[in-house]
Amino acid sequence: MSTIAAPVHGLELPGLTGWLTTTDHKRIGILYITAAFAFFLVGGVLAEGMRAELAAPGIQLVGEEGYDQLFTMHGTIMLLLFGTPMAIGLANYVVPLQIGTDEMSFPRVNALSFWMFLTGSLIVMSSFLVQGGPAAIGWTGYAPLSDVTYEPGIGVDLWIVGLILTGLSAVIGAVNFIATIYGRRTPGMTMFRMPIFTWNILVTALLILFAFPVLTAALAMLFIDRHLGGTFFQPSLGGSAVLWQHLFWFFGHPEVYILILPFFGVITEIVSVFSRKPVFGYAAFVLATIAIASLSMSVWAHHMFTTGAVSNPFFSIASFAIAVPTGIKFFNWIATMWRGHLTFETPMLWAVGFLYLFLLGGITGIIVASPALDYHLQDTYFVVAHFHNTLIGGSVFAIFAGIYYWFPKMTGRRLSETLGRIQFALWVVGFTLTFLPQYELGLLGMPRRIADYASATGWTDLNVASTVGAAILGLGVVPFLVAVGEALRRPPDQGPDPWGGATLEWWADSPPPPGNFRDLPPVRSVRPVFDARLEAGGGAST
Amino acid sequence: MSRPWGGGGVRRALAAIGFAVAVAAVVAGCLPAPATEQARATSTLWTQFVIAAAVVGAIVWGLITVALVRYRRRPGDVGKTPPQIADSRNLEIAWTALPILTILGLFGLTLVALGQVDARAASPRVTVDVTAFRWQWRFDYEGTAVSVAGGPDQPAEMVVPAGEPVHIVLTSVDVAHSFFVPAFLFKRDAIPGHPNEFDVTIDEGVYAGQCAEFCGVFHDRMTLRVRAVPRVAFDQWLAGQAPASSGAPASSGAPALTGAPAASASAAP
Amino acid sequence: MRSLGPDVTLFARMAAFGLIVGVVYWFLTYEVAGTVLLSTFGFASAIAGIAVFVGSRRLRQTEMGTTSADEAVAMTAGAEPLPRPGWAPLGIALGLGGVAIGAAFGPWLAIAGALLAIRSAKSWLDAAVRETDETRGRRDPTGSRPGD
Repeated sequence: MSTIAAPVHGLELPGLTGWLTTTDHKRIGILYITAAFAFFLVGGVLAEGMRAELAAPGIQLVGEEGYDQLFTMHGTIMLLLFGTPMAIGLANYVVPLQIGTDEMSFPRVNALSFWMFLTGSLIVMSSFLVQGGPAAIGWTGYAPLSDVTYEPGIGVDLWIVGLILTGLSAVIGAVNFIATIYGRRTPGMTMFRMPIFTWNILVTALLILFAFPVLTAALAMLFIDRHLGGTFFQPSLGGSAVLWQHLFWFFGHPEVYILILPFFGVITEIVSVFSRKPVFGYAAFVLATIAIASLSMSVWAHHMFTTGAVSNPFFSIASFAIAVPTGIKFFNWIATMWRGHLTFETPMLWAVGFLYLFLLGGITGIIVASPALDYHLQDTYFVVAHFHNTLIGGSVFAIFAGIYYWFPKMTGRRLSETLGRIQFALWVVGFTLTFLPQYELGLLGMPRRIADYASATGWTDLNVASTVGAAILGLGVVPFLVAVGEALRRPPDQGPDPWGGATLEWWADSPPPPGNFRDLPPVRSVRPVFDARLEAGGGAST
Repeated sequence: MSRPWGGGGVRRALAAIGFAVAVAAVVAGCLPAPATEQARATSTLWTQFVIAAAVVGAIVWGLITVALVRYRRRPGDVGKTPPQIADSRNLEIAWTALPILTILGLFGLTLVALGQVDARAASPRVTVDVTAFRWQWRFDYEGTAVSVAGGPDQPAEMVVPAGEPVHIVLTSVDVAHSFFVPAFLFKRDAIPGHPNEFDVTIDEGVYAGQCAEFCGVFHDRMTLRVRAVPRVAFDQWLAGQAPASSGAPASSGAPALTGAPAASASAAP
Repeated sequence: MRSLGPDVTLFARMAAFGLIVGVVYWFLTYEVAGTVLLSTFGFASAIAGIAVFVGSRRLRQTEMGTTSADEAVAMTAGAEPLPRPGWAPLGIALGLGGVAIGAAFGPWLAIAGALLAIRSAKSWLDAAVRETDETRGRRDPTGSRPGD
């Protein structure tokens, strides 16, 4: 057994001061996760507002301008203030543990990342308090609508500067993760012995590194157009509205892979542990992840098929190509379960839900990757359903899987299985009822981003169903909040390895002490804790 | 993975795929009835994709379900370690090659359909300049002085001859809009500074459409209609139109309903 | 050719992808924005890969004769100073927030924010110097240097 040399740990200050000054990756991880979840709830409330307005023809509740602000902020919050930081938070907590080290490479920079993220997010949210209210330009902020000529409100400017800060925070964090994964692995852990979750975080960090600066640049250019005499995106003054779309989507498409790749990693870990089998096709998982990331940098203009400004065949074949490595991952997950001994504790329930639901999202993605079909489906509820399918059925289900899975490690308590099952059931029903009707609405031709529709369209019934589903999703959050509160009121009672895990985080105490590990098992494979358990005479699982 | 099901399993698998194809046929019917020549190509492509999706779905959802059911841990397995199989060269090759072939096939079908949808007619007899503005449409018939513009309470209606190619030139005078008629299974963006052109051959009928690119507060009211009539009727209609004085001026303000002041104009600063 | 190791190979593959696809994209479309974006992605990845390759040279040239930094890391453990808790990160973040809001509202907030960020950055730098000195034995944690 190797012993970690002992730099000084355990210097955290007490109380609130401790949280504000921390450089401990575990605390920073919890800060990210908590803040991200709070934004998830806010974004969810906004969505309930949208669905309430759309349940019946006619403007009843929020008005057209209000509705436009709701969908703008809902998208911005969910993608940039919830999804991305939630991935960063889970990675912050878990990755150093999984590679057997005591900290990130740059702990103080890590803290800076979090506080920049929170500051930027609050600046974006402050737009609710200013005259004119929040931006009403869509999370995509297309030019020239986002120019000061059409949207002069300061809400747009706060949106811009807040997102510049959060984007810089993400890039700093990405550098930290790459340095940590490259430089702080415990002896014996070559890169091809790293857990798949850590691999996925590494590739995600690369995507953040290459994609977010483009968003930052585009936002800066937009600000210059709005206030400093720029004309980048103003066609009437020689600029190009299409250029905004290129820049935004060159970021925007990798962004959605940033939002799914970490969670593919979570699913891989959970499926392997709860099948009591090794990850099937480890090398293929790694290569597929790298392939997905690389390809995702080359497909951005499939969001622009209807502009007439890009090569539709090029972006179509590139988008179809992503199905291949994604399919490989699906087959690897199934093969991991095959001939295993499966149990369905809550983390595995969510992982199974992911497998069923994300497949539909992937299939509908293939459909819109065909420009001829996209000519009909672009900017309709079909696309809305597709991306909520991948983001909720994919990312959010995997987020809950990861939270239920790593909650014992973080707090020393297990979340209630009963409440977990209730939440899962409500979310499966709620998701299905909210979004399957939206696929149909899109096929029928209901555009997105409309505050109202005429009853003569015949779209009412499907909208009602979708709204009822959204209410069920909202209800389904309650068991989760109750479970967290109830668990934290119990004393910690979980050992290092409540699930029968294979990777190094399950060697440390729950929760880990400062410095994480008193000792470490030898690392000779992808599954050091599994190997150690076998050597000690234990079985594959609890 | 040797002989996962046996003979009865193969029959069950084929039945599952057959069921999926039947579901696909139903789902395929959820598209609006195609109202143009181009839309028929799109509709065919949609059916092909849905069938492919159903087959892929049946296989993968089927495999997931089989795994969950067959490999649940039994009471006698507690504490035991199942065989720790972690790779299979043949399987990995197969499930890489088959998806590649599938997407190449889908891409090929896409190219065929795209060729038909994006095809340009040799010499269309009608060209309509479609101008999108916040928040309605204007239709100018090239070679004539006829112009039809929509207003806050009156969506613009484009009258065109049915059964022959209509050439559309699409622009915007302010922000990005999108010309979308669901029955055409088609839309194209109207982007300032980037005009678009396309041809459609429309069946007789009246079709509703609306803007499909978010363009501001009254985006949801930016509807339009297309009325395709026999050539003779179209000629009569055209001759009967007063030149360029029908409907609201090019940039109309907010709809009268709310009494709100006119929103920002479309003219460049 | 000696293997570069998975850490460098990762960047090399992405660089090759970006550059090759960028060239193909240009000759297929003659579209400037996409070509620039793809090629820049390729170049950035190449630069990162070269940086890792050069920066890990010391690790690769260990006595154990490993051929890649990956293996060398796998045989050694880093021992670096860990920073102590402090207010600097929060201070810089809030300062930058002030600068950001100042860009939207007016210069006074931006100036105040910049001052806060600079002050916090100074305290960060001081702490880093102090921690490095302690780790290298030039100063013990009580603050005195050997030989004082």
